[in-house]
Amino acid sequence: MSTTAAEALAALADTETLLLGGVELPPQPAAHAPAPAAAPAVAGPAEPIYDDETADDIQGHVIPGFNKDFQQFLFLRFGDVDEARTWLAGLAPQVATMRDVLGFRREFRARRLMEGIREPDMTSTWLAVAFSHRGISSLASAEQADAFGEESFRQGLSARSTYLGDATDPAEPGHRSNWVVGGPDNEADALVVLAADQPEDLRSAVQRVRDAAESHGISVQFSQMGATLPGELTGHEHFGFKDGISQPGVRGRLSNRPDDEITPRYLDSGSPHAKLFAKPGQSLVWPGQFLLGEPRQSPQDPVQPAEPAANFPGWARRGSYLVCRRLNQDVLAFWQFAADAGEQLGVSPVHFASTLVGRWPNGAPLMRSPETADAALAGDEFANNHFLYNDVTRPSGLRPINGYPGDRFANAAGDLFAHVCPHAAHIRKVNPRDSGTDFGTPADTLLRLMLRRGIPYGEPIAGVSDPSPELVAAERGLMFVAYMSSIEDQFEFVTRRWANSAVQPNLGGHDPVIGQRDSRGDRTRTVQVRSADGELVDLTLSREWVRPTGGGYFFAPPISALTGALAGRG
Amino acid sequence: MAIVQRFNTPGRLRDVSDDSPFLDAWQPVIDELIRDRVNLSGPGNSVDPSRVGLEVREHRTFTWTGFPRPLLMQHRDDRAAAFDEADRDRQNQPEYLEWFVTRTGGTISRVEFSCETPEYYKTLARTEPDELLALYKRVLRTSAVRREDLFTAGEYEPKNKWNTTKGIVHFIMQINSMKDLLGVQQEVPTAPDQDNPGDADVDVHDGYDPLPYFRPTAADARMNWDSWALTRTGQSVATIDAPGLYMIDWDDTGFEKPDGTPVADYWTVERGENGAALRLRYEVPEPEGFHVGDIRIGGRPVTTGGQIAEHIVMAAHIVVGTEQ
Repeated sequence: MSTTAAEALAALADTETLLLGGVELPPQPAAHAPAPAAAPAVAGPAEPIYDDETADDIQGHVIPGFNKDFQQFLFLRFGDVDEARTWLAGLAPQVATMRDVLGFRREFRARRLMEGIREPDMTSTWLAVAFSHRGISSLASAEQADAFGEESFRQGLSARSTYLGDATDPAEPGHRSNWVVGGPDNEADALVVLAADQPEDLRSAVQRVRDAAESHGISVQFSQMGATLPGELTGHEHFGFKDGISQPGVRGRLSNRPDDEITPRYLDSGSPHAKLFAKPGQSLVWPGQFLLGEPRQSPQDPVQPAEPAANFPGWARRGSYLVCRRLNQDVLAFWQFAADAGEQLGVSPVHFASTLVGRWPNGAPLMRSPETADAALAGDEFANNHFLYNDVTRPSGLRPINGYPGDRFANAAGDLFAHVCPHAAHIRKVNPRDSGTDFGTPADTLLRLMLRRGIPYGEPIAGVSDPSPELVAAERGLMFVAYMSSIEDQFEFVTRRWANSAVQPNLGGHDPVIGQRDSRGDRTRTVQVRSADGELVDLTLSREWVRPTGGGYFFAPPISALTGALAGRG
Repeated sequence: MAIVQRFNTPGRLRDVSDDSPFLDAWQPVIDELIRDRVNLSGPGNSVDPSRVGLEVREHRTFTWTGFPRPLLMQHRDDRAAAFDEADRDRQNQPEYLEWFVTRTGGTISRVEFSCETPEYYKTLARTEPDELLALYKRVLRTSAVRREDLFTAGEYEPKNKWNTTKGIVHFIMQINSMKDLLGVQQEVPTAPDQDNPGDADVDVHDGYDPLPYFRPTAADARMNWDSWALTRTGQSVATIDAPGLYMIDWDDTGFEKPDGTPVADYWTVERGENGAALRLRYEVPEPEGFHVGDIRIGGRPVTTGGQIAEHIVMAAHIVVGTEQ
């Protein structure tokens, strides 16, 4: 690794983010508080209400997500089916519900913004469970498993691997035959995700789950711990970039009480797109895009709901498909490329790397801060995701929020020709926002969004000066986890059609972060960037820095199914 | 000064000699389809590059997927139904890509794709009927085509048997044409009213404002959204010369032979060139010992031509600049 690249990697330790503090969010009801009904702040179609019973049936990892600093992924293989069902009955009460997690998240978030700290003093330990087609076949029946209309789920990740651009040569480390789990011969039946705020809490929870599973003849095929990066890189992935800033806002409410939406709404009713966004840059999406059988997104109209899907067994309603990809990251290769290409273009490695991502390492978007990693912008959750790509972004128009000074940052200018943010930049590839795409309007793009729940694994090297040879050689990467109601129309669509394509959704190269390509053995990927004088430059990505090493397609059922259909009581 | 003096043929193909009357006849065909100047969205215009001077600053390529988006939306939960319906009738193929499937013993052995417009062939029929016949024979690789197969009472019949039941030469779907391509590029945003579309202008500041948008095809939305965003910057847009539609990319990632290994390159550009094909054939060479229908894409057997079309990316090109 060159000195320039090593220095850029080490300098990530100095990544600066100025968090908001003293902000008092509009109160949301406690999860159990009764209150009179009230009209929503922004008029629009009625959104579904998830009362206590239904909110207790939806897994909390799906909505709103665990977002814990320490997580463990247990890939399980069943032995005796009756034993597995008994184990599952014992596990069911431990599964975190949407209502529990949402209540925790509301309080956690309010305290974080009020106290201006990343980690308020609140802890909990949560559990989620999901099953492969193979696992459901065992627990319920082959007929029940085949009743899932999602063909990709029925096939499994391994069967779809080369379609996703993974290596076709078995000699390549990313080939499915080399995966640690989820390959042709080592597909898991179930995936248990445990999450905690403290490592010791996680360890004891994992031990309890392992003991219970093994006592019922269930083997742990593979276990992977995930953990957030330390210090200033908390919430970042291993290349050093803040991850998970832009998540869709799920429509729906817990009750008719004021402000009892699943996703809090912060836009004033007079804001230009108050019906489309929950907060600046956070698109509102109907829950059926993530939960089977719920009202989903219309292909043409971003506000009105479309009919729910019905191509699944009845007991699976309000469950969600889970895509897991264990992605190895070669951090040194990424930063070496950034250093080399940056030198060629006359920009710093961190600036060039940020153009590949579309955000600076601290999360500040290039679209709003093209030249510097603005620390205040990065830490302002009402501003750091507020930008369009094609047109000048208008001010967001927030409801009054006590203590929030307002969005003080320069609005994003239109960047139709990708002078600021390349079309291939990771965040522009996977969510083109206001742009047209190869599949139509921004209304179609909302059909492609997923709820991402990933977390890094392995020892960090970002921010480390003079790393030891052992640290350099250590494996690290991302446990990519995402929920959706159609694997083919969401995860596979975004991966194959956008990230892996040089011409979709816009001409300009492959996604330089997650893009995979294997066209008859040719794994060459390219990216178009602008030189300092604005000329388009085609760069060939010299090495692969993200490789799949395992995973699976799973289904996270409603909690009631754990003691119902999946317990053989369908 | 106008940047186009004389519109070229799609792909700059030369099916006729340089002194053919076809070339003179082609110019007014295009000219009639482009208005001098249409205000689109914001201050910029769509202009006729043969009549309005333009200082070109950028080129823009619109890309979209060749498989019909309307069918995927109509059959959101049953993709097999969408593929079956697309193959059943070329009227179901509205994304400026049409295809013809040949089967051998019930298995797909060849899929031919075309994005050639009826206007080109009609003009050829009117000015160079002998060349039209020769072209049909060349494209279809058969000498069986007869002049009377192509003409009815002296008029060219686009839906003749060689361009319907026995093969494909050019578009027959009613909204796949040069007229529609250039027409879409001159459309303005209208009030989003599903029951009464197309009347009032709307106040558009960004890509969310024209929503909802009820035309279901990917191609129309793609061209509208890009053109409108471009003219909102104050610049004007115009078709490149030559106006036309192209297959810009085809992706066989994840296509596997019966033995599970990756396929070889079975694509043949029959008209146009790589990155700008007007006619494309997908067929396994005989020595390989299997057919297209024996290939699996992402683990799924190929039973329809649409499964191949899904991996073809279409394109149209424009220039962007300041009016002079």
